[in-house]
Amino acid sequence: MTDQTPSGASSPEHLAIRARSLTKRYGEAVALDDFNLDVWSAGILTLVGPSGCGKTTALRVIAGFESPEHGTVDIRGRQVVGPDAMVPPERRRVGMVFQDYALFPHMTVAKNVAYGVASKTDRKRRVHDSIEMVGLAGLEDRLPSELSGGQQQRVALARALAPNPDVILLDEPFSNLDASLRERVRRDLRDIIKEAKATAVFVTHDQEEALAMSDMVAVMRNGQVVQAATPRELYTAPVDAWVAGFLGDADFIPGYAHQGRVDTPVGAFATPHEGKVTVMLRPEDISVIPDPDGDAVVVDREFFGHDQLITVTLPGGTVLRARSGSGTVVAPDQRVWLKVGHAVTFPA
Amino acid sequence: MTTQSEVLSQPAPAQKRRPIARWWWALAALGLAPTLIPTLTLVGAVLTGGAVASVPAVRLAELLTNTLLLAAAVTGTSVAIGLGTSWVTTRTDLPGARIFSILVTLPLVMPSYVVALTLLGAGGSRGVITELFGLVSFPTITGFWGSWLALTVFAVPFVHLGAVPAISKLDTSLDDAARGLGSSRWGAFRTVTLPLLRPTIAASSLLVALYTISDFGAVSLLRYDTFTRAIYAQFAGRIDRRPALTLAVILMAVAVAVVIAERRLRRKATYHRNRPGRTQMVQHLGPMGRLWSYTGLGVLITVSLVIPVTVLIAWVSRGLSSGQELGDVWIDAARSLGVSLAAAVAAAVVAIPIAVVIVRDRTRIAPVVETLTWTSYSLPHITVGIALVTFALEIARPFYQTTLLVVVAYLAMFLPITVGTASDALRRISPDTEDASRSLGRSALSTVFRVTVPLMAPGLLAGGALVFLTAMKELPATLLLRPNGFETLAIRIWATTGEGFYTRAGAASLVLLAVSAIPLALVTLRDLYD
Repeated sequence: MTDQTPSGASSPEHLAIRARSLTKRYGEAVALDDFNLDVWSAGILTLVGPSGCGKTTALRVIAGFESPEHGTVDIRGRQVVGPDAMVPPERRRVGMVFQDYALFPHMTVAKNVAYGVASKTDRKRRVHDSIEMVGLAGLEDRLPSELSGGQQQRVALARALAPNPDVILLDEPFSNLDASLRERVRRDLRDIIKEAKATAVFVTHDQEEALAMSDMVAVMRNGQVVQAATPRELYTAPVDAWVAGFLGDADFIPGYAHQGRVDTPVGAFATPHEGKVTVMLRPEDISVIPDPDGDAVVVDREFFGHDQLITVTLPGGTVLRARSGSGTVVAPDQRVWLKVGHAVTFPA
Repeated sequence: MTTQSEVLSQPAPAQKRRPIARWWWALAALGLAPTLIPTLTLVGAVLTGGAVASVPAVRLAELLTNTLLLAAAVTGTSVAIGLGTSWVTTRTDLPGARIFSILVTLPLVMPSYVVALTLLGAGGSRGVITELFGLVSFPTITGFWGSWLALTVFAVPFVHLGAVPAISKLDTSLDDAARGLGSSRWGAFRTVTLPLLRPTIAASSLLVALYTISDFGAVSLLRYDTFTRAIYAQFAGRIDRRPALTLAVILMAVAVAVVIAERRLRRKATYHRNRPGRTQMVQHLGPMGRLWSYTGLGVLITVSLVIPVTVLIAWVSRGLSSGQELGDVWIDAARSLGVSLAAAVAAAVVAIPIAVVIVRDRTRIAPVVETLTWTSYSLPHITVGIALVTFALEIARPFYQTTLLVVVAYLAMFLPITVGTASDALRRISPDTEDASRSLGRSALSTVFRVTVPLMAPGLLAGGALVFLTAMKELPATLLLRPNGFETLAIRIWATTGEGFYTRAGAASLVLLAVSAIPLALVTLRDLYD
């Protein structure tokens, strides 16, 4: 996975977290199965995958709440999980923001934030700075129950950041927020983490959220990281059809590759593979050009305002979706041409 | 991309059960030990022959008949009365229904031996009723009828409290549906309402039956020969404990059978529909309906509350005005307070690790632990007393006749109370809260004291208050286990009533009721502010 190194950092000292061959079972169910992950310092990495893929377990193993049957975890070059090491959570220097925030209901905002700051001398300043940073100055004496969901989350973040941890872990931090609030809170949270120059690992099942806020995204399936890369690389060059489909809308058409080329009803594409392949097309990479001589026929059109999704059939019966701007005017049964900008091929 | 996120947007179910540290298990096992001792001792006594004595079959048949007869009579009357009061106070438009509901529940603070005392003090030539009305000598009601009356007064509040939730959750639209299908009012009650209430009625019946067969205070003072009275007679002043142990084992078997039946029924007792759509019509009472309701409630409250309190006050003031000594009632009160408080604190502390295991542990043994906490709770207290005496004499001699053993008995019998409230409190605390404390640099132990226990505190306090209340009133186990001369309020009331010193018994009773009211008020206040 050395190819995922961003901006020239390459030595292990720059690794905030290094997890190798982690395995964890709950009875019969396998939560982690040869899980490997590198998290680079001062960046946001998101673990994304469908429910039950093991992403929360991975986070809990890194934090020290679960111990794996096998494998190692290093945090900043220090082994915290391994054959000879099982460092308890309180000595890992890992901050955690929980899905339900897990604020101490019997303590004020200031007490919550101060809870993890060991040093007595600059506790006051650290608490003040952390609360200031998350924009909650003036609410120090409130109890968690007197705060809104978004404010509670900020307290949880301030509490996790106050002890100045090596890395902070966030488990589905937006799932308890109103959909209308999420986008703004997500941006704010990202800005705070960037400003604090903290290393953060998010867990989410929402691929859009993962792509939007991360420097790196690791896609998980069945207890394993199947691909870790920058959001753009992941979206444009998924390693397999499952990752492609998980990250966004995609249509797949079968084809046969020969001498680096594969011919499809929508044109020929270059491919590194030979023989049977699957060609993945994203709707936004397909343009629709109305033309009475076109070989494709519009079967359906969903108009969303900012764009529209046009479903067409090709002569061979292949159905494709195209996302285009609202300027293109088409109606069902109209003949069109398709122009494909980008395609990815996988061995079938 | 909307399709993906919609499909996957349900949050993964949070893992509420976590691996917990071994020392939690060790502490829980330690806390559970006192509860297991009585049953283990009795079983051991059976196996080693310590509880095998020949009790004449005729005597056994007599005790069994007496005990079951009383249980049947008390159950029948108190369930009928309790259902009536709960129905009238929750499902009709009777003015003052709430106040009546509280007044019906109030006798709950009166132990059965105090009710017995008021019966004895009311009748007879020196009785309060005779004195008030002057002309006729009101008879003293003792024996079967006295015990029946005393225990019915004692049991009605339990039935009332158990039936109120079930009745108030009944969906009246079902009743209306039956009426709409052509049933008469009585027909609808018989074919719809009554079957819906049947699990509640059955569970209440068995609970009252259990109280009745376990009761010692009322039957011993009113001289009605049941198992508990016979056990005490066999025990007091005899060297051979085997007959008492044998009777105790038989009584335990009867109690266990009742408990098992009750638990089975309770599992099924969820007929009532509880959903937003249910309708709750309130029955309108006409003038006659109101008259009958007020008369019934009036008679009940007079018998269960007004007369007992009047009798107690009358005897005390009569005694005071004639210059009688009240005895060492304050010293007795201090002893009662001491052991009850110790039991409350012990039960609250011990409940912490047990609740952690029950609520948090994900192994299959956790539910077993929950069941085990109930081991001694449902046993007749006199059985627990006999068992602990035997245990002390044979295994833990230094503890024989110590206050420590009394506290251990309370802990054994009342543990599920604090475990219940502590577990409820802990269930409301997300385990993430404790994990958060750990990742903020606190050790597991520090987390217990800074997060877990403070958050459980309201539950521990409420449970402790209830244990205190129950321990203050406890008689039979205290009687058997106490050190010589260690008179608590309960024992003073029982002993002085038995000797006919109703003034001293009345004074101790009033102090007991006053002290008992304090934790009850605290718990009620907490519920109000919850």
